[in-house]
Amino acid sequence: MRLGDTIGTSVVARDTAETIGQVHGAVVDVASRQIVALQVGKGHKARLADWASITGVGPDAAVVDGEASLRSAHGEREERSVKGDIALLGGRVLTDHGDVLGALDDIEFDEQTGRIDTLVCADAFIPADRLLAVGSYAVVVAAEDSSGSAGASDDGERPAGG
Amino acid sequence: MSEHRTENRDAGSRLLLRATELAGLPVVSIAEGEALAEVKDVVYNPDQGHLLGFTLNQRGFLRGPMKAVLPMSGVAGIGRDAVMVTDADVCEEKGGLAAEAQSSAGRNVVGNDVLTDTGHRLGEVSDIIVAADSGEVLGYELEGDPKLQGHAGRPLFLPIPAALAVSGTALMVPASAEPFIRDDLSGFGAAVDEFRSQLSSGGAS
Repeated sequence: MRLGDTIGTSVVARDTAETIGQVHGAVVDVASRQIVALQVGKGHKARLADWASITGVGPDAAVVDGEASLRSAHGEREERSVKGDIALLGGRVLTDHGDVLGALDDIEFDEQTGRIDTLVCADAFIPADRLLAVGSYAVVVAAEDSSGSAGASDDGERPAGG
Repeated sequence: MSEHRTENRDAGSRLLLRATELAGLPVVSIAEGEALAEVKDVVYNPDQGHLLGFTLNQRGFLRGPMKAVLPMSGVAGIGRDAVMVTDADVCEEKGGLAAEAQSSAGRNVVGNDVLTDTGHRLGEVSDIIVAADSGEVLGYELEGDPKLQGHAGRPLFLPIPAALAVSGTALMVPASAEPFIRDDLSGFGAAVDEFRSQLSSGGAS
């Protein structure tokens, strides 16, 4: 599933069936290539739903255990992420060689585990294992190793994701 | 985002950049994805054939020169869009490079006249050509002397010979370098290699 498709969907509490907000973003852990939390709401009202408290992410809603499982952002990184200070979707994708590939169009992730599969950037699919950092200036990825033509595209065609 | 620019690559598809193109590039940490600074200028000593590092400007509101300098040893990659470093700790405020940056004022070859050892003025150095992957300085861009046959008024690219005298006002090159001058950067890397192999085989044609 694509992160861009979840942005704007309702966040619904499983215990009350009440809508408690909307998905505004995600907190990503680069080391584990994992979406560790979804951001519910924005600005100073923003709260986070840890992946463990999410029972399902579908095309129409993200379902969490209950409103009580939402928490506020902890620590510098989460706070900056919630403030929109950390570039994710729309941020520039920069290789470790110093070349901009384009803007990060989307992130494909496994809706069961939250594991990031691919980054979608300028019509190319970048495997998540090339992800090195997500910061306020750029999403940094390892440059393609192919020493010959440094092309932009990885695999030409792929089935359209979920 | 960045527009497509013309890229200059040599035969081995190494990216060639002018020193003036490096100025203004962000310095980005690979570990954090943060822009730490912006390149102010290159630090280059003509006696050594490679960049020593970069002087830096603060980015954003506090824009202005920084005390810290970035030694080449801390650079992980130089690209079209950024100078990449492993993390923020590689910039240093003291040490040899900081002193070098002050004493040499960066790149004092720019503005020098280029003279051959046969007494011909080829032009004036207007820029430094750097191989992005290694920081190796491959040559100089010249503003061709108006009298120079076939090249009058056009920018020229001169490979750096192995031995070269620099006085701070003039740059002395062997006359044998002249055939390796190029009008454009494409193919310049090959010219550098040819010239070097000629020098190492000891044969002056």
